[in-house]
Amino acid sequence: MPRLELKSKIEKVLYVKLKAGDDVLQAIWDTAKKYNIKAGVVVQGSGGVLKNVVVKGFPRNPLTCQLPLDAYEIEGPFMADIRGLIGVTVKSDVDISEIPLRNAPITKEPGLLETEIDKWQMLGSQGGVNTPYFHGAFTYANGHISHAGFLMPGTQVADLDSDVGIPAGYTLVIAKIKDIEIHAKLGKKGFYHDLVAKQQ
Amino acid sequence: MNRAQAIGAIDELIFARVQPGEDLIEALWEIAAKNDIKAGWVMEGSGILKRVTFQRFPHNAKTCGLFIDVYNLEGPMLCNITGIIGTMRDSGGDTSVYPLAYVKGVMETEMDRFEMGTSQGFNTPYIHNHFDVMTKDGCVMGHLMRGSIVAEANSPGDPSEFTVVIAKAKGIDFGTELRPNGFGHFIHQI
Repeated sequence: MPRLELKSKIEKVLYVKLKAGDDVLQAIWDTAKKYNIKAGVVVQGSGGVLKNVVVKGFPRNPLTCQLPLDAYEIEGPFMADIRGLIGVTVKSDVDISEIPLRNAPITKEPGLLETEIDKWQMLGSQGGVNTPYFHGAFTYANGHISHAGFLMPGTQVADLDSDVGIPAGYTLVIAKIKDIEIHAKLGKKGFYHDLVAKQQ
Repeated sequence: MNRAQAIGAIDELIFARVQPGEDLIEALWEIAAKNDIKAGWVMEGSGILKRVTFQRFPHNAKTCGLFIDVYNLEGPMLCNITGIIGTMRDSGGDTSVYPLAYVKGVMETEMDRFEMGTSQGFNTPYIHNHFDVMTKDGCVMGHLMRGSIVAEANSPGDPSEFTVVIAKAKGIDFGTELRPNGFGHFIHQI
């Protein structure tokens, strides 16, 4: 079957140490912005403990759920493993206010989708056009459950220092890719990302 | 302790978009064959699956005809994959000695037996991929098999979001072979 394939190489590998209280997704966005990453891979994120997780997943019953996707928080501590794709949000012909999420006006979800920034972040973009995008899946586990989901803002690194004397920290390994870009873009019914060869 | 080790380097990265309706493992086989990947790995692959087919250990091996279960889970589900890529080598092993062939619908043909090892036959790509999926009911992990289908895009005309990043290695030849005495399973060779 014909499919889009682009070849590239790793330009550099970044190791990023997060400290207690850091928002994991915010750290990925910050790193993408600081190093001008238009295409990247979070190869690995591990080595510490998360205080909580905020994740996006499918609702149990779409008929009784206003949104096609759930977002929820679970208190940790959790061990977690993160991977995903970094791109950049690009302009499209569609405005975010036009994005229908079923029949629910998404601004009616208090605390979840109240502002325009909330809407972008529900989609993986930091804040709209020209801001970083992270499409990240992660797995997390405590003594009772193992789960997975789509990483959302609010997921924080735990501070175990005071409790058990373990230095806090969480390490991300990020590969910056050259010659291509991953463009996250609004479509008529939602968000998608596209692979684009970088113009020389 | 002695152990096999080989040192190589990344030759190139291949970013590929897997289309809605495509079988994920078939797409990976194609990409590996087209790019002549003798050793590599799926560095990242994520998107939404309509259905996943996978191997797991049975709950109770004594009541299960096989030492491994194969079954499906219907989506939609968020999916993340990683894995290793090599070649199914012809080492003289014979799949017919496998005691798996009697399982109706799972292990009936020689191709079924190779696909249990996630290849399509001798001298074809071998993909050992693990996944985690998050369905509405929870998280499942397992060994990805043929029959795992990429979900439709948000709207017709939008590109698929299922993107895989494959690292092609150089300086290493990685493969798997049938265990010479024929019993059980495949073994990796570096």
